[in-house]
This record gives sequence, structure tokens and C-alpha cells, in this order.
Amino acid sequence: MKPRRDLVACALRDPEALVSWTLVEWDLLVRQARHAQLLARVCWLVQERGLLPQVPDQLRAHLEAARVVSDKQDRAIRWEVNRIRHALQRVGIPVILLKGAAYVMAELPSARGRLFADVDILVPKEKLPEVEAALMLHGWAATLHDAYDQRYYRTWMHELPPMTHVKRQTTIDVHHAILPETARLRPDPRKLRAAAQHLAGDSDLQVLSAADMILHSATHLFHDGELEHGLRDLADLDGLLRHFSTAAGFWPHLASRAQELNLARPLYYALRYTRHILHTPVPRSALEVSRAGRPFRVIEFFMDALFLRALRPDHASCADFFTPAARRLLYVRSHWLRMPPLLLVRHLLHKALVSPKDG
Amino acid sequence: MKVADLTATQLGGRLKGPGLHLRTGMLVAHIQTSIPSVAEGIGLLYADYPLADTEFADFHISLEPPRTLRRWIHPQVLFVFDGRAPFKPLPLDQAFPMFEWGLNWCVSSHSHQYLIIHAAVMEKDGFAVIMPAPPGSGKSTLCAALVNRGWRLLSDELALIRKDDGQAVPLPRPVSLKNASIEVIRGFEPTAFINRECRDTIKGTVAHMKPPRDSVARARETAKPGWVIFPRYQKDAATVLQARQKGGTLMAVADNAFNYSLLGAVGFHMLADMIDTCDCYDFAYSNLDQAIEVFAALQPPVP
Amino acid sequence: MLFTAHTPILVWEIEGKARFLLRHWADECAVYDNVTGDTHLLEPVGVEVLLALQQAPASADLLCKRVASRFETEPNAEFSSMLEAVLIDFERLALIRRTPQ
Repeated sequence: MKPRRDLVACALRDPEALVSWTLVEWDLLVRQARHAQLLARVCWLVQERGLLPQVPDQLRAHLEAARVVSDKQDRAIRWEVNRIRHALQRVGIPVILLKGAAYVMAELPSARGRLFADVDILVPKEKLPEVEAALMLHGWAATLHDAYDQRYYRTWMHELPPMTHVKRQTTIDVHHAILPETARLRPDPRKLRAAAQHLAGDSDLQVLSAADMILHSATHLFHDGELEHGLRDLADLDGLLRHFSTAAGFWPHLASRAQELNLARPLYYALRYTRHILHTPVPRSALEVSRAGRPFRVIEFFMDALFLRALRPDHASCADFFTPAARRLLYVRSHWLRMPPLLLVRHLLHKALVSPKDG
Repeated sequence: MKVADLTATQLGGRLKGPGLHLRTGMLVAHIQTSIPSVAEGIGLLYADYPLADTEFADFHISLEPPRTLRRWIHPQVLFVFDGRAPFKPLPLDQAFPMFEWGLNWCVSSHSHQYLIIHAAVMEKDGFAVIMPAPPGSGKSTLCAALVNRGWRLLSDELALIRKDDGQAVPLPRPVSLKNASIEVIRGFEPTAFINRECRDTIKGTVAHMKPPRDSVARARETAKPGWVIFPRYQKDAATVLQARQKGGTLMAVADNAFNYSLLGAVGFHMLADMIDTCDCYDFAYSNLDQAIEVFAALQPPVP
Repeated sequence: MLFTAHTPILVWEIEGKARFLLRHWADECAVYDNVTGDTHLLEPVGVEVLLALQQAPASADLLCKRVASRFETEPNAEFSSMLEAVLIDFERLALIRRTPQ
């Protein structure tokens, strides 16, 4: 049997082999992939290769059911982007789509089989009040009413508090930078905006340049995020790297851009772990250049122990004794990287004592 | 091998240990629990059901006490779907109804290979009647009565319509009865087995009726939808079967479907195809025997 | 110097191609909109409006004449105001939109 804890990564690396998997392996794969929000992706990979008829009947139903959900979300995201464009037209700034919405609208392979929660956009900081007002005019409303949370977002974070549309119940996250102002790394949003590219035939909407999209994804995963969907985000990265690396000069440009934006460390981790877990074809030369962002050996050893566990699906069959601790440590790390120590302590205390959340 | 072939000890042992692979129609549930009332309920109400000889299950579920003080103080039960608890815990004595509700949730949240309508489905002479109904319409009472008078049970809660051919796919499970309808059905069909009641649930007093053996035996036989009937129980109402317009029926059924909007264009065509070939009615009643007669007199739709 | 006040002429149009699926029964029509994911039940007048706009964008006036002729009736003030109400409704449902010609 394949390594039990890494079935999803195995499936992503070698979808052709799936037709020869045993029922036991399939059972576990479906459960792990569902937890990792990658079941629809597995379905896509199988369908792309014309292998769906060879999948055992009961399992095919689960793959197809997952695909139904991701297809619906693809349609929903396109409509949501349509409505956001409509709402923000008067503000007169190019709106940059981030993450999942960008992958869909730019028709990237990373969009296939992906599940989306919110739409994320990037706008200039000085335009935030206008953007917020325009969104509210078109039916979006603030969701966080706790004064602490509102202040947390507005003062320290790199985004407005999430806004939900009253009728559609969809959520939009409006960012003015890709990392908080209090974070240790501060890539200049003006540089990101300067390199952004319009969607084909669209004068209102943009996406980040290829290198910036990858660096943003890497930063979010290895710096900022809570790794709830770590493997999914890693699969996004793998998709982006494979897709964009066909362009001439891609790897050197990625490395120099990382240096320019002070994101060499997240890039190092991105290449390290996509290569190791998903066998992303990263050329030796690119790996060597990326070592500029390498941490001290001891830290790297420790990070391996944490990330290799946390980048597995959050399913009981993927965990070992240290996995819960690894996830907790990375959670604290992500907050540590976002804010100075005093603020961190205050924030964690507040969360623990004053505003307990469900689940 | 069936559930009834296991002794109570063997059943309890399997549920506590490796789990039970229970086949309900096309779906297999892998169930684990150490809660006696759940084991008892399964033993009584699922006696006729086959055990699946398979290493794959569509749903892995367990019912367990929470890992808090509520394990012992005012004990509670959690429904866990593959390691995650989608609902808040309930009082321990509601464990069996929670198992039933939880299994319904598993299907309605995941089985998008079907169009899933919140409706009772029964079959006679090869044609299925689909009875969508919001809570309180008397759908389950009517369903329980009909399956004791010659109709085969496909489901009392979830109509599963297959994409390829529009057939209704069976998922026969214990019929849930609430409040007054428990006594009504006991009186209507004394030989039907109804398990012990749970009081003070969110739906009131709840019990489950064992499905007829024949319905379980024929759980792989699909049926072509022939009628869409919206029942409405009203005390002292006259028994009236009233034809309804198809366009409005499509909208009303879509409202009662769990995943209509998920399925998009495919769902629209599936539903329109179904409405096309069905006779559609509103049905008001207060007398079960008269209702049975009306259903018995239903003619297959003219193609 | 002469300044001329200029009001842009607005026409109604459907954004996107091939987005509606229609199924008809008697005088009802169910419409699925693939862009918004919504399903609507339309009356005959609404169906004709949608079919007309699927052919080409049109002003409210032109639509009124076209739809009235489909029903072999006069495009009088009453018909026109009823049609206007349908157009506003459809705009609210995001089926159609107004745009300068």
C-alpha cells in the first residue's frame, strides 16, 4: 500500500496510476482529499486523462459529486467578479483580483477543481474608503461587529474586515497590501500594482504578474496563512509554477523579483516543498539561486518537521503524534510573523479570553 | 449476510470495534458507536438490511459522547462524519434519531450525482410518486400509511433522481414519525414495528417505523417518476386531488430540492424532464383511508 | 458658441451569449440563467421580451412595438407601462441591463 499519510499527494503526482489503486486506498483517498478540498481536483485530473470510466462505480460518484460543487463555484465566482466590477466601476481604479478569483478569470490550470470561499481583491490604500462605500452601496455589509475585530483589521491588518453581500451571502476581502503593515516582511504594494496585468479584453480588472502571483501564493502559504488548506495551496503553487515556467527567462525573473520584494524566504520554502511533495519540476539552477532565501540549517530542519506534517490533509489518517503540535506551532508562527510581540500577546489573550469562537 | 444474522452481542461488538458496513440501497455506511440505544435501534429497525462485504464505504460516521464534561454531566451525543462534527451535540437519549438525521445529512450534502429533493418517494406498478413537502405537511404520516398498503418505499425524506435516465433511486430507511402521527400509524397498522419514542427533540416527540421487508429487499430497483404530489394535511379537510400547473410545480420542487442550484443547467433539465412526464397535483386530506383510496386510483401518466 | 444638451439614448440588452435555457408549458415558461445561476418563471410577455433581446439590443419603444405585434395588440400607453415594469423587473433580476447605444 502507498504511504497512508500521503495518498492525496500520490494521486496528484501520478493520476494515471489511480486506475490501479485498491478499494481500501481509494476509500482513504476520497476521505483525505475531501478534507483537503482536493477531491474535485482529483476528479479533474482523472477526467482530463479520459480515465473516469475506469474508476470503480461507487468512487466515480464521489468524484463527480465533488466536481459538481467546484463547477458551481466556478460559475458563482465569475458572477461575483461581474458584480464587483459593476460595483466598483465608478471608483475608477483598476481592481486586482487575487488568489482563486484570479486563477478562474485568467483561465489558469490552478482554477480546475478548486473550491473557493471568498473573493480577494487588491486596491490602493488611499482608495479604501471609496471602495468600501461603493461596495456598501451595492449590497455588501460589514460582518464583524465586534469593536476589537474591526480595529484589528483596520489598524493592523492589510485588509478591510470581510464584507458579505446581503442577498448572495458571498464574501469579499479587500486588501491594500499582501501582508499586514505590522509584519516583518513588507513587500511594496505599489510595485505589485505596477506590474499587474489586465485580463484579456478587460479594462477594469487585473491580476498580478506571473512572478507576483507565485510569490503572493508562497507568502500566503508559508508566512501568513493558518495552513488549514496547506496541501491545496501547495497544489495551487505547483500549478502556477508548471504553467508559467514554460516562458523564457521565467526562473531567473522569479528569483530576482523575490529579492526585489524581500520575499526570498517564502520562495525558498515554496520551491523546496512543491518539489519534495508534488515533484514540481524545478531546475537545479533555480534551486541554487533560491538558496539566497534559505534559513539556517537548524531552522530549516525544524521547519521541515512542521511543514511536512502540516502540509498533509487535516484528516486523522494523515496525522502522527506530532502533527497537532506542528499545526499549533505554525499557527503561532503565522501570528508572530504578522505582528510585533506585544501586539501578539495582546491579540492571543483577547482571542482566548474575550471572544471565544465556535469550533 | 443481514443485520438480523448477528446476535445483539456481535452487533454491539462490531459497532464498538471495527464498525459495521451497512448497505442502504446504493449507498454503504460505515458506522461506529458505543452508545447502546443506537446499537439497539440498528438491530431492530435495520434487521432486514444487508451487511456490505466491502472495503469501501460512502460515509464513515460515528456517534460518540463529546470529549468534554458533557460526557458525564447531562450526557450528550455527537454525530461525527469522518472526523468532523457538523452539528452541535444533542442529549444522549436522542442518539438514534441523531443517527438517522445525520445519515440524511450525509446524503443530502454529498450525493450530488443525484438531484436530491426533500420528498417522500413510493412506487407502484413501476411508477414513482414524489411527494415534496415542507415540515408539518403530513408527508411522513401519509408515506408510512401508503407503504403499509401496497406501495413500495423508496424513501420518506430524500428523492434521489439519477442524471442518466431520470429514474428515482431507492434509499429505503426507517420512516420518521412525529408527535401525533406516531399513534395514528400505530392505530392504522398495528403490525408495523415502531421503536420507542424520543421526547423533547427539536422536532417534538420522534419515533421510527421499520420499513416493510419487501421495500428493503428491492432496494436496488429504480422507478420512473409518474406523479408529483404536494400533500397537505388539514384537520377535517375534504379529500381533494387538484391538478397544478407544471411551470409553478417546477419552481416549487426546486425550492424543495437540496442541490438544485448546485447542479446548474443539468439540474434545470433534469427537473424539467421530470415535470414533463409527471402528472402534478396538490392533495388536501384529513382522512388516511380516503387518502389511500385516492392514491390507489392514480393512473400512470399518459406519455 | 452653441451648447447642445445631449441625453444618451439607452437601450436594453442581454450581457453574454447563450446564457438562457427555456422550457415551456401552456402559458408558463421556466428560464434558467447560466450566468447568475437563478431560475425564473416567466409569463408570455416576459418570454417575448427575452427572446427579442436575445436577437438584438433594443430601446424600450422598439421592444414595445415588437412585443405588442407578437400578441397582435396595440402598443398603447397601458401596454407600454406594463412592458416598462417588466423591463425594470428583469433589470433587478440581472437578466438584462441598460446601456448607452
